[in-house]
Amino acid sequence: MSSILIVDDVEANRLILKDILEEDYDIIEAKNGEEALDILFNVGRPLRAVLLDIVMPDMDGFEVLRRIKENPMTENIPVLFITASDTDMDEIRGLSEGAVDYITKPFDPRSVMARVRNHIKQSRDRERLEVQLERKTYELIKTHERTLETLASIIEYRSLESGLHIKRTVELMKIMVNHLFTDPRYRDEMDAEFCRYAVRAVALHDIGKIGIPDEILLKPGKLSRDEFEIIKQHTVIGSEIIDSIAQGATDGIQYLNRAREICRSHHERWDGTGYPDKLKQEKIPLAARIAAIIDVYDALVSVRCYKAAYSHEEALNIMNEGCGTQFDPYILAEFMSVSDTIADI
Amino acid sequence: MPDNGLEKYVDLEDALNRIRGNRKLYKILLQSFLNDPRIDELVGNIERGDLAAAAKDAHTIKGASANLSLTGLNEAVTVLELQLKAGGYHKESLESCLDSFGETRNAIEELVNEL
Repeated sequence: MSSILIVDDVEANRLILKDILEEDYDIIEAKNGEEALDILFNVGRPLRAVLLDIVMPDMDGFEVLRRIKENPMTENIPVLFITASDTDMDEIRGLSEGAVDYITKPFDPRSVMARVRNHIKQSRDRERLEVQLERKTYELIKTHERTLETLASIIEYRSLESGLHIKRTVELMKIMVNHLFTDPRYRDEMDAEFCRYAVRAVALHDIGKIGIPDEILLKPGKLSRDEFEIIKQHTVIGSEIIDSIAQGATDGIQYLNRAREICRSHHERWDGTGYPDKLKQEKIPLAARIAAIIDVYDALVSVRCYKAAYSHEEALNIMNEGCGTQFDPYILAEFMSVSDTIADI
Repeated sequence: MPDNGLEKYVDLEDALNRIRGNRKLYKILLQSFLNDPRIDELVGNIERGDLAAAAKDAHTIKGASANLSLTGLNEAVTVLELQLKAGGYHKESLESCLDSFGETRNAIEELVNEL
């Protein structure tokens, strides 16, 4: 049974209300504001409505209402003022500050009952809608994610690279964000959401390759200048694919933001000589700066159609030569510092 | 029902109408009302010169008496509340309240025996 809280410092007032309401509801009483708040913030089962007097010793009803409204746990509980106040100003004030109803004494308990029922029903309906909305949003995000990940695995398949490349870049990103998360340098940017989504998004970094012709993508020999220009486009294509899937909804969807950043900018260079946008230093999004290092490392230690694999140590040496020119020097240093963990992947 | 002019202090019909004829409940409510020390607090606050607090007491008594159909008291305390809120009061109004309260108490005691 739903519970209702009745707050009034006069016992007789509480009793009249309790008499009629206890047919349908479990009644909890409080004789002042402090008691009421104590019950509201600590009670086990949820309160469906509050019937609140205004003039009470110490804390008045308006103050109680204010405290109810500022707590996310209780802000949506319907509050009905029941009071001997008979000035219009109090009624206007009460309703403006968030009470759903304003009832004066003497009241007809049957009328109070009807109003309480209505307000509870409205509040329940609203809760149901909110739950539905959350669920739909969640489904929408999941759909986006699934679509993008399916595309990523198609790319892998077509490039004839082992599907392990995606898995390894994800693992490497995990190690890197876990390590950098505690670094005060990145505290503002790297919250838990950033980390979670950067790890998932890195799986998509080469999604743009779907727009590159096979002859170029799978060419075993050295690429001509024109062929290289075409391959470079995979960054722009990738970012456009993300945009088209998101359809302008990227503002709130962090996963897609990280994906777009990584797709577009993982070939940018710290010194500004990268592509496609020639971004320099911290203008390159953080997620992309990390992805750049991971991507190059994994390419070096893997067999590709155009080269053999380097060893872990050889790869690190090669990468160090790019410190400050190709790679963010600070992040590269962090990468080196966890290289033992990385070697195990 | 008593036929001695005490009905103007306790309007039984009005009250029973509000609580679906539940005489037993009304008895409980009236006894609860008598147990409430609010009228004494009101007097105490006036004697201390705290008219704002006295106004709150008057307001509370106004609400309770309205709910319990104690019309005589309700009328008297409504007048006093307005005065106190404005920062002052007339001695006659305070006395009228106290008299009403006394009569209300008598009426209640008589009624309670019958309910």
